[in-house]
Amino acid sequence: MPKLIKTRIEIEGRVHEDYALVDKPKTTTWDIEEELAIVGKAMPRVDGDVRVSGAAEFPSDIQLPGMLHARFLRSPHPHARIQRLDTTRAEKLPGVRAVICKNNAPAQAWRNDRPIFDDVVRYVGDEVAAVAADTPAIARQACRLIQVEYEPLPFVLDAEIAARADAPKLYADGNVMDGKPGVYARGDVEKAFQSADVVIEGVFETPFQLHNSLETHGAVADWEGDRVVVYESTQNVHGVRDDVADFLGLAKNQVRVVKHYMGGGFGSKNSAGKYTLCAALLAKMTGRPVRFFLNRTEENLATGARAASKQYLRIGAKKDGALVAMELTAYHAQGAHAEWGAGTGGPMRELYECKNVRTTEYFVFTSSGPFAAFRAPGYMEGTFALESLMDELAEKLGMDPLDLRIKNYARKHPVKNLPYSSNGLLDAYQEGARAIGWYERRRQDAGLGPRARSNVQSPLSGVRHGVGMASQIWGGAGGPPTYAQVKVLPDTSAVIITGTQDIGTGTKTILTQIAAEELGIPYEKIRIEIGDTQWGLFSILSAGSMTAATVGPAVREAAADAKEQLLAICAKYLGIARKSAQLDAGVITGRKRGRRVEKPLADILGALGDVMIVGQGSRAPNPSNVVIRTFGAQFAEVEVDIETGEVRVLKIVASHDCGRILNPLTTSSQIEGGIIQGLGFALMEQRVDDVNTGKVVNPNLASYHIPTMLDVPEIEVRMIDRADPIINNLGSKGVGEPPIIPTAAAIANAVYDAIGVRFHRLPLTRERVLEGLSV
Amino acid sequence: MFEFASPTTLDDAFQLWHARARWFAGGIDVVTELKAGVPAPARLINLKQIEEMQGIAETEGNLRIGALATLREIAENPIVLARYRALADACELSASPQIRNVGTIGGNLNQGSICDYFRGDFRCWLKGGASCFMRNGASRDAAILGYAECVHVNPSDPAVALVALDACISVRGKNGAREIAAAEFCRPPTADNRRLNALQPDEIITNIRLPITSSSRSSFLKTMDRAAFARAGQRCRPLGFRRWEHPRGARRSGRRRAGAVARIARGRDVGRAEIVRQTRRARGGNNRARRASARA
Repeated sequence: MPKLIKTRIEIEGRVHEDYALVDKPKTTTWDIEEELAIVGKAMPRVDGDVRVSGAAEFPSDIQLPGMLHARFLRSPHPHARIQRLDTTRAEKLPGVRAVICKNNAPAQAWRNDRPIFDDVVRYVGDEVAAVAADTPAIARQACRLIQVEYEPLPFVLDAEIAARADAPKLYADGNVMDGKPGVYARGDVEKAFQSADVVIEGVFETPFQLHNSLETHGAVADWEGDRVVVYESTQNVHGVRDDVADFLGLAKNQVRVVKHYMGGGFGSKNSAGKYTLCAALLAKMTGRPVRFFLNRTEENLATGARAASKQYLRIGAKKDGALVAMELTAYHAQGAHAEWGAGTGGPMRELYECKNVRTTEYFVFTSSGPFAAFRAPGYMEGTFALESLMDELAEKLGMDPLDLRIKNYARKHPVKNLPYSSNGLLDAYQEGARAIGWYERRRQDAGLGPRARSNVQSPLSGVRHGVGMASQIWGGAGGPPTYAQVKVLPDTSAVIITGTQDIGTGTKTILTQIAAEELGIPYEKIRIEIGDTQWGLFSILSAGSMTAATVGPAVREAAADAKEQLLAICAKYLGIARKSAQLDAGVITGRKRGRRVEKPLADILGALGDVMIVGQGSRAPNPSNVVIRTFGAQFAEVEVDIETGEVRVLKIVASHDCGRILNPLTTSSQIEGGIIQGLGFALMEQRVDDVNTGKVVNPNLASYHIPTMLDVPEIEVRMIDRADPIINNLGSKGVGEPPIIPTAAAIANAVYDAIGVRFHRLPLTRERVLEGLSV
Repeated sequence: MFEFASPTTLDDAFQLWHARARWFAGGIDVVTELKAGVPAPARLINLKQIEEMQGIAETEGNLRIGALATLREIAENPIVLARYRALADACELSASPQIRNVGTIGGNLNQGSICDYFRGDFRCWLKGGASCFMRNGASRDAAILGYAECVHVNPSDPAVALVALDACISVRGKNGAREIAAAEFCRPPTADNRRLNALQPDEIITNIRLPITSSSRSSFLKTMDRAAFARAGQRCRPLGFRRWEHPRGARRSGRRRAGAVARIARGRDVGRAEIVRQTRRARGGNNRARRASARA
């Protein structure tokens, strides 16, 4: 009988308390040294063939008979009150089947306690109405026929300005979320600064960064009587189910959410969107399936962004490099709608041993597209600022930047004052430094400043070389509740069933490896079914680097349960002692009255016919009294053309401690993808607002630049592949977010090493580099 | 809804032309505009079947490049590579492989502005509006030279090379053919005529002629915000300009033509002093934008 427990789980830096049912564990952690047969091997993706051949059906591929196409009318104003809204002309257009807006939509609250179609629009792109029509072209034309009279209101784009009392207000109770900043403090910061030998400060700014998922946000809704099936591009099928059921007043079993494949999410697809709710509403109104997928412009404007940040940092240290005080005041532009904020203070609170720390984080509504979680939200921006300033401190102290970090290495978690379950940060420093040749390079021409050093290296050409590094800390523990099943079929094949979803990281592949390892059934004979709320068992969202360390242990438990049943059944059938029964390479062996018996599993199950073996598993709670974190370091080598301002990243060495590596292929895919997104953030990505109109200037992929293949440097992945001894039965932590965190900081530090100019604003565009050089 | 016509001769093409028709070749610009919901023309006249606008060949002391030659064809053509390297490089550095595979040189020279404000949801001066949004807005891509009512920059990389190489653009319209020097072809928009080139609405580029000269050394340099698929960036450091004036191996007397710094591909030598002076003016625009931001 499973036990009910109360559990705390940390998602994207936020702690949630939840109940979970946990079974008595059947497995223990694989030994740290244990060489496993399938787990840890570079198995190709179980769905690789389906993906590359185009056979995989993504939610945006769904076509249903009689399906309608939906589209939003969006606000052209950054802030306005809707005086009049008339949809009559649109409704009369042939081919238009339904229009929904504030006049007829459910009044109930959605995000920020506002209805889905509000009287006030708060950014250019805010939803005003939705149309369902026979074709996308008719829906578009109908949107143009909707007559809206707006009363423009003053708007504000900058978070720091928006936080002031006299700024135009987006909401009645002001622009600062919860009315006040989030404050964390330990020690006596003011006193500690007075005792510091060196105090250094800096103001750092980072822009809105966009997820740019290749598959845009969207859903297809199809009613069958009083039940609705939603095909959605989501990283949280159960969350979408709950959102839709709550909003429409349906029982959870009346909403089925299906997602087999998706084209990217990165945190922006953690819950249902207005398109989901409108697809369901419009489908109900028309009695026909409705497809509601956004276009590329809408993806840019309305589906989420990493909050733009402005961070004021101050660090105090002793002559020997020991940190005595750190302080941060940060403003985060949340856009017009947000349920929560991802602060930039995390790295300062957690990364280094420092007794006196205060972080003050303002989450501020601004007249721009909404915030959404984005791959290590807050931590990546915070790490850029903190690790840049640490580099400046190192120079001021005359210390090597890496030595300064090692000097301030935190043996215990500085916030909770508890030991870590495992901590490979020092190993990551060592591994990365060796791979890039850190000390050899930094020691060359010792005594010269960075600028002088690089000039010595290449006195004639316009190109300067530099190396830099940065550290990473992040969660990634995962935890309950999550449940899984493993079915063993009469022909000895097996099916894993759980309610997780593959965001694209290879979840299906690693879960299959884990089940194969535990069951003793070949990898090729196991299939996996996920991404369906009606058939699957509850599983947490694919976010916060949690999926592998959450669902993996539950699947292993289910496989162990199935195997136990299997052995019991086989023992009974063969008349052998239960304890002697073993399954190895598809053969059951055991002892019957002292004699050895062996028989292929296939023969036994074949004889038993449709005996159903179903293993159940749940995710056991995390160990208490320890803190679980992932760690890492990245080292960047760059080249800066001082005549054109172009920065080219030549190489990134990434060394991260994420516990046991389940699959080196899927792991390095995560590391590479994170680094490429981090490189984009460092050098080119930014959503640009027009300050005069509040409109986005670059709402497309032609002007919002993301890295091309030619921008991708050599990436050397050097994982600290060491199982965590206590966190879960795999010894694995998450790897999705860690690699994006230190990339921009490492690049910025390498640029400083190359040209001796420190940049406090991202991205490092050519004109900023040139301007910095000409000062 | 529109009609799609595919004539096989230029004469037929002009028979099909009327005021609400649009020429169509690679479709890079036209299809983008159609998708953006710009009112569709009544008729698209597809030029791609017209033989006399195709190919790259030597004729009578000239190299003739058909207007339908794709950027890729030009970038890979052995004669262009050997004698007009700047043009080959300019084509190779334009856009992405996909666009170079279908985008034609005629379409490239006749493309609309790639200013974000012009392409975006702004009723800007170039589209017939009252003012230029970039002047006081996000102006990092604003022109440095010819800072005027509209500060967009010349969008075409090959145009810069063609101006430098003294190319001649052969044009044909309803009322006959004419030839325009590349330097005259690119013209800044004026209040009365906001077109970016010397073409009349009914006119099309049929081919481009490059004189065969003894001097065959040229090069095209482009700075970008990323390694590929980006518009040319105009910010250049005065120190760097020196190197730009004298690329390795080039003689001091080489001529220089600047592209993305100005509203048009410039027909005369661009000097360092002018760039520096004009950069300061343009930066003034940036500062104005920053102050506006602070006020908001």
